[in-house]
Formats: sequence, structure tokens, C-alpha cells
Amino acid sequence: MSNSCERMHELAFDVALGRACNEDRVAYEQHVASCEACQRTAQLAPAVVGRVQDMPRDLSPSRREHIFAALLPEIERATGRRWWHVSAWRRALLLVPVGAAVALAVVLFVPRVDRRAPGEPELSAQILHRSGTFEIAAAQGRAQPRVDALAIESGSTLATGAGGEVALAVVSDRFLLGQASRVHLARLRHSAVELGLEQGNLIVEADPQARHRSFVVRAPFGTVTVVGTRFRVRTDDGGEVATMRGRVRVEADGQIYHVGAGQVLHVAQKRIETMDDTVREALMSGLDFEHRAPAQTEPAVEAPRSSQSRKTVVRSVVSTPLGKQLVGLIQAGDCAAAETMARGRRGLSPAEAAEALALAAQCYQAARDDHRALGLYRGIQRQYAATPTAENAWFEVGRILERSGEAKEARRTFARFAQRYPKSALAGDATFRLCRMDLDGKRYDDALDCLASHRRRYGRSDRYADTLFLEGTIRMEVKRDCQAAMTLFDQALSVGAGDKTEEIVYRRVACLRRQGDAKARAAAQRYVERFPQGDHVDEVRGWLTD
Amino acid sequence: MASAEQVEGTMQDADGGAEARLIARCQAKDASAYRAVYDLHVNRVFRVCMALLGDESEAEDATQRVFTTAFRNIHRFEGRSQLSTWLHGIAVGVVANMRRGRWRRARLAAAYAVETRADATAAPHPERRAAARHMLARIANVLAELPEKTRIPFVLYHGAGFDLRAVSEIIGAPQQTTSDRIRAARREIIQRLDTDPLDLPEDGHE
Repeated sequence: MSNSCERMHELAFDVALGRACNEDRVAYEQHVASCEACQRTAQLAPAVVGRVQDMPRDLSPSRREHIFAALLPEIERATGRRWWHVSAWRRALLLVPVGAAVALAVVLFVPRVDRRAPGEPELSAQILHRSGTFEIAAAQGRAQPRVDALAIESGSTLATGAGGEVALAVVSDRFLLGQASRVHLARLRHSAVELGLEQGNLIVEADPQARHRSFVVRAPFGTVTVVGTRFRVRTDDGGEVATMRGRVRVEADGQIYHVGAGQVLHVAQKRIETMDDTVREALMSGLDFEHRAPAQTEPAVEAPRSSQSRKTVVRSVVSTPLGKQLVGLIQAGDCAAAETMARGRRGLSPAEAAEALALAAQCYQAARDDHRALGLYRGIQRQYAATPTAENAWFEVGRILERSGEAKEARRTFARFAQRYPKSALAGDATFRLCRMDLDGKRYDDALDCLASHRRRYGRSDRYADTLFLEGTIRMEVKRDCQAAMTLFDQALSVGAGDKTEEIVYRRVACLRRQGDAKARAAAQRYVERFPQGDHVDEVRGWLTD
Repeated sequence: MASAEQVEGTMQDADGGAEARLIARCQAKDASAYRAVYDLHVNRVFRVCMALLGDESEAEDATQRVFTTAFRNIHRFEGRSQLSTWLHGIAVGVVANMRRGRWRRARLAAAYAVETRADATAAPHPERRAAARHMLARIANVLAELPEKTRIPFVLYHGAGFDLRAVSEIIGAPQQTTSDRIRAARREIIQRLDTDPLDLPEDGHE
């Protein structure tokens, strides 16, 4: 290719973008007209540019408002202003898309069944906002709760004191636990969220887009099943369910109720009423606790039923005065002050000191300052190696190095982590990352060995299906061994592949088709029926018409 | 109430100080200024997140994180770059964190492909539809397989409409490096597409 052609290839993109000057454009057109080699580039460049420009869509108005609503606590913190004090026109702004969403949610509502897969990994609930006092009880079988400034793991129980509230997010679903309330985060998965509201009240905003995920709240009076809606559950006064958006299904005392938008079910009275304006407005804001009479006394947060569930209440540094100050600084984004405070405080136990440093590190991570976060985590590794926080610090060091492109160092860190904490809940994840690094480095044989070894060592861990899928994909795409790939895919499906199910089924169909197997057509048909909205449905339909 | 477009229009019509005034209002804790910042930039941020992540719900999640981080740190914004550049710098970081997801490449390719298929089916004849589908799927795969280092500047420059200086500020690399990366992405795309000759649908009409 001549220099002139190389220059024309560059110009092809600028011309397609409309960024070439007139002189360049004319030169380009003249060159292309007389150069066969460049004519193909001249065809490809606009197609590529068009694809990059056209692919993403704008946010729909309702999603746009949905995201903005989630930002309100942040704005409130930044401005020191409660967001519902904003002018009426802005509240009205929220009403329009929410109204549209109500209609949509009602139309789309389908009662969900719990389809969670046994092999699917548990997620954490991300803390969006918190105030007042609260405590967290550890998940079953764990000596301490895995909690930090940003996340609470599945299986934990969260209890708020008077005046306390905590807003959490699981993937795109959000919920707010009110004052003097207690909720058990029973199941946090991509396919299913299950909460046990033991006392108090809970506002849920289940993502209307996440129709693949069931959302269930179990309360003392019954079970509330929901998809794509906003609603509140209260356990006092015999139980109450109020729906702002969409529709929920309540099963209580052997009866089934459907509570639509703007309705309130009083469970004890077995009565559904129209929601009054005060409750409606409160639910709109997601913070209806302001409208309720304050608790007369500080309710004691009950200790978990340790004899029954082996849970242990651990008073994390988060609930100490230092922790509250730290959280305040972190919420204000003042990580440097949080670090100074964490480093400077005397009289802390090693575990508390390590946790305080980890909080500051997480603040830096949230502010994208991985360098400082790394320094703090490494400090924890060195100085507080014997504390529970050190385990997380090791893992975080590996993650930061991995995303910084320090693959070699990250690899070494994860390998040492797996050696140092072989029984850690994160050890399987660390080892899986090592396998993935082999794959990223195109060391396919190493990756295959690593994945097989992972399964031998960690058995049916959260990553079990992942290893099968990854190995199947390597066998299929690199080794061109579809037979072995399909065996692995079948195993992955049999243990539950969670959000990768569709991808695996698709690849299985592709394998059958590649092999010219007579069953390919029936398998493709089943894929289309099972995943009518699937990522590959058009392609598979194309196979059926071939 | 002023729509986002009106606000944007006002911003564009005004002199370069309008953005500075908006930032000053944010820093003076004016809640309405936060809304204006959000309205002005949310769609572009979302589109970039979508282009880089390839998953709509994750792109929404990323968009929320971008604005959460931005609002939390807006008091530190000193106006050395444009606000959109600063926001997209945050977006690139947020996306990089989220891309730790395991099956991003496959899903990204699928997302590109889904979008392209929708367009492809608009072609008038079955054979042309098939050719268009083939071509667009191939482009989708090539884009998804580009290394992050070259794909991000390529998408920002070609997809989000940033100029070279803004892209280099966003990714924190010198302009020459940024330019080289964009050029490398273009070269790689063309090379990869050229290894698989396609029946490109003709432009124009029947």
C-alpha cells in the first residue's frame, strides 16, 4: 500500500465523520475514483462510523427521571437541602414520566415465580444512603458481617434504630429501610431478590426493566411478589401494602390480593382502599417516614436469634462515633479527611483501625483515586495482616492492580491471596480471576488447566458454572471441539447458569449447527421459544429460515 | 419549566462563561443547577456508557454512578477542562470498573449485533438483508474485540463527537498518543474487516 493510500484510509474516516476539510475531501474522492485498493475502505469506513454513531440510543424520559430520582439524595447532601423541598414544578416533572411508567407497569405486570438457580452467585446490596443508627448481623456461618462503607453481603440482617434509615441497591432494584425496622437480605441474585421484612417498613423500587428478576418481600403477615413497581410494606397495624407504581401480588392468610397503583391493602382488615394524597406524595419521594409520628422512645435493636440462626451481632466500626464521622466525611466525598481521621485515631483495636482505613480506601475507590486506595490497602496488608479486614484488603489490591492493567502484579497478588486465605469465600473468585488472566493472555491451554483445577478445588462454588461456560467456549472457539464444548455447556445448564443461560443455550445451538447435527433445527426452535427477546434471537431465527 | 433542549440551547447560545456560571451555582449549592447539569449531559454520558458497555441496564447504572461521583466532587471542579470532558473522564473510569464483568466482550458483541440487526432488517430485499446483517454483525464483532486502549478513544472520537483534544483529556493521554490510538483502531478495524470480504450493500436505492 502506498503512503498515499494510507493517508486516504485515514481520510476515509474523517470524510465519513464530516470532519475533513473541503480540500482533503476532494483529494480523497479523486483518489478513490482511481484507486481500486481504496474503494473497499471507502465502503467500509462510513459503515463503521455509522455503526458507532447509531448504536446507542437516548435514555427514555422515564429512565432519565428514574436515574435522576436516585441522584436526589446525593444532591441533597451536596446542597444541604431536602429534595422534596424543591419547587412544585420539579415535583410535577417527576409525575409525568412516573404516570407513564404506572400505565406501562400495569400492562406489563406478570406475577413472578422464584427461578433462582442454585449455582448462581450471591450479590451484595450497595449502600446508597444512610442516616441515623443501624446494625448489621452477619450471614449464617460467618463470624463477622462482610460489610463496608458501600456494600452488605447477602444473608445479612440489617436493623435500623429510631430516626435511622438505609437506602440500598441490588443491581437496578432499590429499597429503603425505614426507622426502627429490620430486614433480612435472604437472597440477592441476578435472577431473584428476596427480602424478609421482620419489622418496620420498607419502600421498594423494583426496576421495571428487570423482568427476568423476581422480587419477593416476605413479611410476618404474608408474601409480596412484585415486578417493575414502587411499593411500601409495613408490618405494624396488622400489615399494610401500598403501591405507587405497577401492581403487587400479596398472599396473606391463604388469600391473594392484587394491589394496584394508588391502592393500599390493610391486611388485618382484608381491605383495599384508595391511597390518600399524603401517602402518595410520600411514596413518590421514597421517604415517607417524614410524614409519620416519630417514635416515642429509641427502640432497642433486637439481637439476632443466635441460638436459632448462628448469627452474630458484631459492632462494626461503622456504628461507632468514629465510624459515623468517617461515613459523614465519605458521603461528603472528603476522602483525604477520612484518611487523616482513620490514621490519626488512637485507642482503636487493630480490627477497628484496619476497618477504618478500609473505609477511607473505599472512599478513594469511589472517587476513582485507585492509587491512594491501593496505598491504604497495602498498609492494611502490612500492619494489620491478622485482622479480618486484611483478607478484603488483599483481594482489593488484586482487583485494583487488575483494572490498572498491572496484570503480572495482579496475578501474583491473587495467587498469594489464594494461598494465604484458602478457605476465604473470595478464594474461588481469586482463582477464577487467575484463569481468566490466562485466557486474556491467550494462554488457552493454561486457562483450560486452571479452570479444571478450579472445579476440582472449589467444587460447586459460585464460579462453577462460569468455569464450565468459559472452558466450553475455549473448546468451541479455540479448539474447535464442539462435542466437548456441548458436554461442558450441558453441565453448566444443569447446575444453573444464571444470567449466562441464554448465551450458553445459543452457543449450544451454534455448536449443533456447526456440526451439521439434525437436532440443530429443533434446538434453534427451542431457543427462539425460550428467549423471544434474547440477544441472539434474530440470528437464530435466520438459521431457521436458511 | 425549561426543557433540557432549551437549557442546552441557552447554554450554547451564551458565551463560554455560561458553563462556569452553572458550575458556580452548583458549588453555591443551588439544587436547580444540578438538575441543569444532569439534563445537559445525561444523554451523551449514557450513549458513551452504552457504546462502551453494550448493555442498557449497565449503561444506566454507569450513568447514575457518573453523576453521583460528579455531584459528590463538583466542588473540586476547577474549570480547567469543559464540564462534558470532566464528566466523560469520570464515565471512562466508571466503565473501566464495570468492565471487570466477566462476559463483557460477548455481551458487547451481542449488543452491537442486536442494534445492527434492527437496521439490517430495514433493507429491502432478503439477499440484501442477509448481506447487511452479515456486514453489521462483523463490524460489531470487530468493534467489540478492539482492545480497550484503542476502543475507548475511537468510540469517543467517532461515536460521541469529541474532538482530539477533548478525547485526550478524557482518557488522560497526550494528544499524539490519543491520535495514534485512534489511528491504530481504524487500521485494525479495516484490516480485520478486509480479511473477511463482505457483500456490502450498495448505497442508495433500488
